Amino acid sequence: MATAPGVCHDPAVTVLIVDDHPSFRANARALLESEGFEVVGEAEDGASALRAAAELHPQLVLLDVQLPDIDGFEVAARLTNGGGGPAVVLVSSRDGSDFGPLVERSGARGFIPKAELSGAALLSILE
Amino acid sequence: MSRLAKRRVLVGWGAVALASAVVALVAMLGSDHLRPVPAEIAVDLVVSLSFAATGLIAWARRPENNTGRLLLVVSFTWSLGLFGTANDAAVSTVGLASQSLVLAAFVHLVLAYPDGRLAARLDRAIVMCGYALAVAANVLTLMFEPHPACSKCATNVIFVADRPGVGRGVDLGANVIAAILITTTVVLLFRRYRAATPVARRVFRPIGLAGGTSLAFLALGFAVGPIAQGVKNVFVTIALIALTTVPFWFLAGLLRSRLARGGVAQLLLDVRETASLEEAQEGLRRALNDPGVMLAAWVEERHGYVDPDGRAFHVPTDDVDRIATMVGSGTGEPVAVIVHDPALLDEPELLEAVAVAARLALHRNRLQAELRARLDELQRERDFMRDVVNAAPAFFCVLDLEGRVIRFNDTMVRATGLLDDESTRDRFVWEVFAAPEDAAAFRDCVLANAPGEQQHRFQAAGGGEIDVAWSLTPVSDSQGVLRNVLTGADVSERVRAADELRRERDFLDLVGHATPTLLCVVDPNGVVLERGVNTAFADATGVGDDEAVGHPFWELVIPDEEIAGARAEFLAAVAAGCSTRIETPWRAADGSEMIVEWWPTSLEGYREEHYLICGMDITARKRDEEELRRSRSRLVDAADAERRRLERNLHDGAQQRLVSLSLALRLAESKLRIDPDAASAILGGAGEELALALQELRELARGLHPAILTDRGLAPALETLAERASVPVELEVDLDRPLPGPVEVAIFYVVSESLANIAKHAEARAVTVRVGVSRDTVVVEVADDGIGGADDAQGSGLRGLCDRVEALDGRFLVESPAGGGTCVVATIPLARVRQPVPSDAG
Repeated sequence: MATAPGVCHDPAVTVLIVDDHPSFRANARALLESEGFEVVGEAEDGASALRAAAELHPQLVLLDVQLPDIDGFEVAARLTNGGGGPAVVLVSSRDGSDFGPLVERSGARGFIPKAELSGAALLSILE
Repeated sequence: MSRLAKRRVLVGWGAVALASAVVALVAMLGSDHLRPVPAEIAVDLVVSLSFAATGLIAWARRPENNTGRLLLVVSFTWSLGLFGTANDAAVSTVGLASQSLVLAAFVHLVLAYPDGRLAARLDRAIVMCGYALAVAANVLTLMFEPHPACSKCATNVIFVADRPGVGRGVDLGANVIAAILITTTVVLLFRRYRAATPVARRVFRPIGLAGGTSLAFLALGFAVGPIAQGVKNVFVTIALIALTTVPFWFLAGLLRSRLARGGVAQLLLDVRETASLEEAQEGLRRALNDPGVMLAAWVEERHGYVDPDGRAFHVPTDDVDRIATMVGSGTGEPVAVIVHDPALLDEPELLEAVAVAARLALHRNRLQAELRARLDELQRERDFMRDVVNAAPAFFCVLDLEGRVIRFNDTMVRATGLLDDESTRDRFVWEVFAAPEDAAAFRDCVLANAPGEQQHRFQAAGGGEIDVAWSLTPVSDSQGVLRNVLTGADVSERVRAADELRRERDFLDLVGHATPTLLCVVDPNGVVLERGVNTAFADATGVGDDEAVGHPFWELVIPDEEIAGARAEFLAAVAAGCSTRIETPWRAADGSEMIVEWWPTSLEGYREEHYLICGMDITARKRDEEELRRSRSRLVDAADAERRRLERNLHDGAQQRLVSLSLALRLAESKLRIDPDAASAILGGAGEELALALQELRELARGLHPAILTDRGLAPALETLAERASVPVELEVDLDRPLPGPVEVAIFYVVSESLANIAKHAEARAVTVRVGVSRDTVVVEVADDGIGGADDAQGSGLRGLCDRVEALDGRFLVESPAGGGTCVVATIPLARVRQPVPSDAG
């Protein structure tokens, strides 16, 4: 796995990208991997996300709010249920203010607008 | 005293007077010392008998009056004085002693006349002195003169001593006193006569004047006697002559009184039958020769007397100069009062005759007046009735029993233009009055004496015809002949009004039955009345008059569970003045349920306590309203869905691509220096992503509004749709005018959505799109040859098109039989679509 120069992650944070748009998944994978994250898997809907998380045990799930089947908040709640799951960061092409308190209630660590996605932004949330 | 007793007294006194006269006559004829000449004897007899007869007559007529008796006394004393001629000394002495009594009696008679009473003390004194002087002077003379009458006479039986001086002295004194008494009497009579009223003078005149004259000359005789015996004899002779006329004057007075009564009788004849009270009074004045007589008549209504001038007349009660004599009817009711001279009381017969005359005259006058008044009243009443009959708006025509005209009133003349004269009389009434076409029927009714009111057409003045309601009444005319009176009235107006009313009622009936409003006439309890429901009601509810009458309308048409509410609503509406509109379900004739808006309307002023229930079947309206509500809801939903779709499309499409582009650019940026090739590849991908984003945005914008429609118009827009369609499209656009914007948009979407549906579901090989204008309606038809089976109720696309078209008051139809292709037709009226205000957008 290639790591971004000047950025040190040891060991690299494992990430599961969940989004129904392939172009976003591809760009996000390339961006995060370039910034030292380890993208362990991708899922295009909620159900597959839950399965992949259970299977891959990522440290971080980058979870799109709007999924074709299960709502992103619901998926986040299930993933974080009991406190032992991965850290979940919700993303959306909408602004965070559109969702109000839903992000916090869902159990997710935080929210990043898709256009502002970056390793640094993720890390600031995870810290 | 009975009448017989009175007669006996009179006969007795008459016998005495006659016997005295006979004795005096015998004495005079047999006298051997005084031999009166026959003329003297005759005069003495005439005087004696005339006074006696007059006295008896006066006594008989008025027994209560002493005048008659005084006349008899004068007669008796006259005869007694003649006894002095008797040969017998005693008889002669009686005669000589009472020789002067006649003068006293005469004075008495004259002073007491006319009522026979001596009212004044002086009268009584004079009379008493007269009687005393007459007796005393003669007795004294006889006592002292043995033969005062003649030398041959027998010596009187009371002779005492011959003293001639005494005799002369007595004689002188007696003469003087007699002269004074008689002169006083004459003066009294003269004064009384002067003071008397004309009536009193008339009464007084018979005896008073002649007696007074006689006494005046006698007084002169006594006065001059002592000095001139010859002159005295002349005066005494004149006095005797005057005295002898007294009975004749008295009889003349009686005759005048009788004549006056005759005058009163003449009064009855003279006073004409219609004499007024004034004329009757004037007649009485003439009859009584008393201009002061007043006559007043009793007027029952005023309960008093009125004078000839019509003024209230007060009967004098305390006026000694005027005496009121009441005149009553035979039954004692007052008739009149005559106010007259008290002297008339001395002529009671005259007064009574006058009273009778007045009573008769006034009674006759009253009867005449009453009769005249009654006749006048009858005449006035007849005139009034004639005026009424002629002025009344009714027809009166008297017929004989065969129906011939006898006469008819002016109203009939005016109405028919026919005259009540020979041209119409004695002709049959139907020939005279009836309109030709109605004459036979009219004749039959008249001849049959048809009871009650009949109606026929009469000829009218001016050539037209009138409707006459008439009836016959049998009456007896003034001669008792039985007639028929035809009474009638021109009822043309009434007939016309009734026709008009009937036509109006028929019209209202027609309107009532033709109106689609459900009508039902009920009483305050909601019970349907006779002929109470109209056709619309019967058709809509299936309940006609026969079933409805007598039942509360809610039991007929309202579903059971709603009856209580409807009844309460009805009663509340009636109580509140029927302003409430009530909406309840009604049972329809086909058993279904309809929604009816109904309200009771008071028929006050037309029918008391009746209400008209007006009902309108608003089921369709309600359905339309519901459909409209749903349609609006769908439009809102569709708009919401469209916005969601757009948001989704933006989110899923362009937005995602822009997000990716953003990530790619940052990635490329980070790779630019360390891995330019990778960065270049990333930027190339980003460019493609950007192009795709722009493409999606264009598609999206087209979905928002077809720009070509705005820019180029409907026909080019439809051509573009046809070109882009996946199935060959035959497009026919025939528009003769520009269409309103909303219509163009609707047409565009109808075609666009239909083509999209065809592409997705129809499996069609060809599509025909036709757009044309017919009158003020634009028709869009999209037909394909696909598999059909489309359902506008199922597909939200078709439903949305339907809503869009109906929002423009248009109609949207889908015919899509299975295997028969699908034909979508939208019809949109143009007149009701508002043209949007042109925008300045460029």
